[in-house]
Amino acid sequence: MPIKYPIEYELKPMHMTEGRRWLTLRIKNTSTDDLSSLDVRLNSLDAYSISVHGSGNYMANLGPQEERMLAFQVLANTSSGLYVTIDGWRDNAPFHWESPNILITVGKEVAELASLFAMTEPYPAQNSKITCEAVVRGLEQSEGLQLEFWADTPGETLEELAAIETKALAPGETARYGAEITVEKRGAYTIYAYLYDDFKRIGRRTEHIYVT
Amino acid sequence: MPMRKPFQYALAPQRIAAGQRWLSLRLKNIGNETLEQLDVRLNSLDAYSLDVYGAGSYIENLDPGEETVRHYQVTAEMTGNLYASIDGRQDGEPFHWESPAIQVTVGQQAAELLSFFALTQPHVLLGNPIECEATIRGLTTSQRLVIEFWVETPVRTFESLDKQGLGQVAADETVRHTTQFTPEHEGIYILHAYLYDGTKRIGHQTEYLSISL
Repeated sequence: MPIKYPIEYELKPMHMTEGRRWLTLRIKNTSTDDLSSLDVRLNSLDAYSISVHGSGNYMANLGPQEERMLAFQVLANTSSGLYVTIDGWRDNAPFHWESPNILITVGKEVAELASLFAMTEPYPAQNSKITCEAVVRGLEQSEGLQLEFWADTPGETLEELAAIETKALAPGETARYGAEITVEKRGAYTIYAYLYDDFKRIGRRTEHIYVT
Repeated sequence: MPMRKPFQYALAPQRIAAGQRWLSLRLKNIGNETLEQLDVRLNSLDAYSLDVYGAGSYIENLDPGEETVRHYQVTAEMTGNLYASIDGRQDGEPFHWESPAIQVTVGQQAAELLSFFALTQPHVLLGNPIECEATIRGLTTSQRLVIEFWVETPVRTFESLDKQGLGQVAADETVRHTTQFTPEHEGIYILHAYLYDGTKRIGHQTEYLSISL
């Protein structure tokens, strides 16, 4: 089981079909302290893709080396990240603990949006031209997916940078696609890449840059 | 109102107190066609910070130029991001639409994590040291702020890189904190910056890097 002190944790299953499903979280107290009044939550990092029902689980106590299984019901639409948080008391002091992102894959998508990068240092100069690069990885045989690049600008406008039809991809094969933006305003830009299979959005990534 | 065709949209209020609150999403069809069977949802990008109740809202028809307001109850713990999504039919064909992230500010936090960057191009050669920088802005005077840096590696370990108290940060003061690490494996690294006010986590941002030989 992965460990982030003082909790060992495991979320299962990490792959599921679409719909209303259950996930089980196994947690173990690896410290020598009693943990008490624990508010254990499973949190979505994109509730459109996976939403978690309910307000979490409560545990009055988790002793040293004690292990517990907790169940969470989710509504799964597409692959996305979840993470676990625990708020409680340890050694008479409040503590907050959280896991890193845990990717849950949902259904059988034909491809995934593996990454999105702005090909620049994070503080580019005003009016520089920046290439954004997205990598699409095939999971099944696919062709003609729609890849869109958008930019949310400091001027609060949302600009479409490119809409690209992807080439044929075999399982495991990757393809890189780019879009360019000239950053005309100072401030924070958020770049979005969306991958669509017909009308279903199957991938969403963001990247941030700060123009000086 | 901001727009992304075929909708103009606005979420209000964008500043709320912590607790159970209501948000209103205003939508206007700015296209030339009637939109039908609309499943309108407000989605959290971090449900620990902001959690939206319910399964969304249904609109049978939204004609060109027509405007509607939908209400959503949220549990607000701290500042976070939401986005609106709409699945429906346009001219008989299914479509999906979504807004960019909309920040909702919650309560009076002591500070905010403005940005977190790896100070490099995103594709980095293995073995090169990488500097990461978090920028924190004080919102009230605070002496309990702590910044933590963590890294998820391609070999699925989660390692602490740095943990540092920030001393006294005044309202509107901006503080930058950096740390360095050297990647030892090829693949995607996910860097995390966490901002704490005492034991309460009040900010979290991530940064991705691709490491190759």
